[in-house]
Amino acid sequence: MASEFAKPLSAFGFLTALEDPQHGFFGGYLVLSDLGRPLEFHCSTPVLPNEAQKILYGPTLRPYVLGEIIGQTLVSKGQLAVQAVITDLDEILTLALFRDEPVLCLDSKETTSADQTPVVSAPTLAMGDHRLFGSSTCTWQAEQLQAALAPLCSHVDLSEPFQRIREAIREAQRISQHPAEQQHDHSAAA
Amino acid sequence: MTTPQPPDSQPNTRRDPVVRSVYNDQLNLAPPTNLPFDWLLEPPAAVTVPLETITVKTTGYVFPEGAACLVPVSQPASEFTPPPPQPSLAPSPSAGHSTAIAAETVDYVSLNLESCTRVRPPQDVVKLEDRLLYLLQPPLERVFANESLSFPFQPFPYQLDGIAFLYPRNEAVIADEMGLGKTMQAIVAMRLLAHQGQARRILLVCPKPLVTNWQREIALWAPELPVAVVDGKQSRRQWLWENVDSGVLLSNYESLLRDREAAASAPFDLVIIDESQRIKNRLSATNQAVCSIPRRRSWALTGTPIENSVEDLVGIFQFVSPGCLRPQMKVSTIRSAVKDHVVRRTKDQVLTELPPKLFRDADLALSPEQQQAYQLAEEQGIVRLHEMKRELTIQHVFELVLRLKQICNFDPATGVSAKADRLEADLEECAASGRKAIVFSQWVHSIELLHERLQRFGPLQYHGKVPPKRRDHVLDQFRNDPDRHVLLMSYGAGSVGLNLQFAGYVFLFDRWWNPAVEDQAINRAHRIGAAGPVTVTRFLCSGTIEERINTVLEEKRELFNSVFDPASPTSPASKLGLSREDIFGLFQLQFPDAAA
Repeated sequence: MASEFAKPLSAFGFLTALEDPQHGFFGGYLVLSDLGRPLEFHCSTPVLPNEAQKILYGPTLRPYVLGEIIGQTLVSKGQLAVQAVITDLDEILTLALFRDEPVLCLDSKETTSADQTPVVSAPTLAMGDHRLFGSSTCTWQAEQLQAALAPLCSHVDLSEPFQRIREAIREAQRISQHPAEQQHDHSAAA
Repeated sequence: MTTPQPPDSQPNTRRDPVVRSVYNDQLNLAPPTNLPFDWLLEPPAAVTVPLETITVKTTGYVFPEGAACLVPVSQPASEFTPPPPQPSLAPSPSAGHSTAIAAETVDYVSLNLESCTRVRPPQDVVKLEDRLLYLLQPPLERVFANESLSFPFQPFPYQLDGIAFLYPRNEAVIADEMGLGKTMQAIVAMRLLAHQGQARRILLVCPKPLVTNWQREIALWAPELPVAVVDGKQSRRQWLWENVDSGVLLSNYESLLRDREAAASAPFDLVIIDESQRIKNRLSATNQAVCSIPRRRSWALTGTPIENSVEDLVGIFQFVSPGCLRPQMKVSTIRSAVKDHVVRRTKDQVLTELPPKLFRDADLALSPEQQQAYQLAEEQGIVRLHEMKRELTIQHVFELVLRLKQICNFDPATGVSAKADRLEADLEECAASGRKAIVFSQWVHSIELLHERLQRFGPLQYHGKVPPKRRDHVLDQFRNDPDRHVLLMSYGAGSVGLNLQFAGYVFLFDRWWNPAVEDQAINRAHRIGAAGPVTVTRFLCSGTIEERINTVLEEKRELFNSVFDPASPTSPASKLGLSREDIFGLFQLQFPDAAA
């Protein structure tokens, strides 16, 4: 869909997912202006792999579900072209195989555990206090991306939009699961 | 998914010659001829497990700012036109009506970006798209930074929470305890709305003595907002109401009442009423004048949303959210109905670093002269009340109460006063330490007597008889003149809105009818910026009407807590405020109807 429109001056996609043991993975994709204001948002219904998929995909299950299934679906729903897609889950980097936009992962304590160290050969770039890295197969130019991300980083802490997405996913789930509750809240306030 | 079959039920592909032949053909294998055994192994048992394609459903929205960025491909990217800039409330050249009060020279600072204050949607926002738009906004600190808005001081986190509460709400009450900065929170939220083009024409209504205070605070916290004070001749006021179409119109309640038709002639984007307990009586002319103003947003500020009974809140909500509360509603129903509209924080909750407030109850015995006068007045008064029988009204009882309270202050014949003696002694200590004190009384007459008696402490007076134009000067003198140690104030004129945090002592020379007004008075000194502990001395003549009234005041405190503190037990309706029965009960009298 994004291809139907010209590229806006500066828009950046933020993609992440929430994992719920009962319902599976909920994805959320937020497009921000370089001032950090929300332009567009998409979230998914929960995706719960079945037992066969868990067995057969093994360790590749999460990259498959998060990057290939949820990530690809959400980003393709976006109507605004973005300069880059940033995620805080390194499994989502598989999205880079299916999209033209650069896909970067925010290197944080949450994503970088001992067994999930970023691939050494992956390109990295530093933006203020944050470090971003791509997949080992990505082809983006660090200098160009750094220049493109600079205006965003002067207005937004790169780890912060993911909090917004998680809150929005929870809200969307709350409303869709308990529409009566919302109605009740409204009538109580009125 | 295909359910695996038990092995026995599957065709035996290894033995079946047809299957074996197909197997060989498909693999295109020719059997070697020189092997001593049949090389073709039996094929393994196979289970077909078709993998379902995972489908994902999505919900999505393009928000208004994003929609403005959508440009059809036919238009070259270089011709992209950014969304129009947010309207600004910068003073226009024609804004000659602005009344500017310069802010004190301060170094403005940007907000600390390490904190993260989120705007959350109010409950009455129902559409998911609208709720998400609120949730997906940047933290308040970033919004201010991106708008290049700086502040004279770093707000407290609870103040940012208050701003985040006000900002998305059309109907809101800030009911923070006095001294927590309701004024600043309202101004900053108003400033943000103005910068984002959501509030262009704003009306602010406050009590008359607080007009200059608001001007000063706006100049400090939103220096770029033009302010026009509605005062002066009728023609000037009329012109202001009709012609100021941007910025802040600042009016007092009396002006608004006089100009109610002109005030209602054009809609406001935001109406803020300060000290909103002024409209607690929903049948009063002031309430009706305020409620008649056409507006999109209604915010009320008060430290005492309930002064006498929960009906006070009904009056305030007639402005904030008409229809939300009805008379005679149960306390528990009111609590849940106002929950999303009201924010209330107390100093104990949020200002753990504020110096302590120390209470001293000075229980005094009347002087012999006062005792004699008191006894005589009470005996004669009660006899007279009993004699009135069915003609007895609440007014008669009130008159006796006031008479007795005045005697507790000063003996009318001699001017002797046990309270004044004690006050004088306390002020010696206060003045010796170079500190300042505020003395509150219900009566101007008592204040004038004290003024004569306390001359060596350089007393100043602030009450209804002091012309409004002189009042700011009085406060300046009290603030800046080291020889002025005492400010004598009436509850009516000085209990709300003033910042006197440099005073370390507060004396309640006599007690007001409800504790909320007393709290307001105390918090003139005990508020943000207080340099040290504030000592509050409450004078009470034991064995008198003052003691009996004090009992009723304690019951009112319980009522307040029952609405705003869910942990407190609900007070029974019989304890609401100083009822007719309460007043008659002060003298063990029965209300005539009840007796009949």
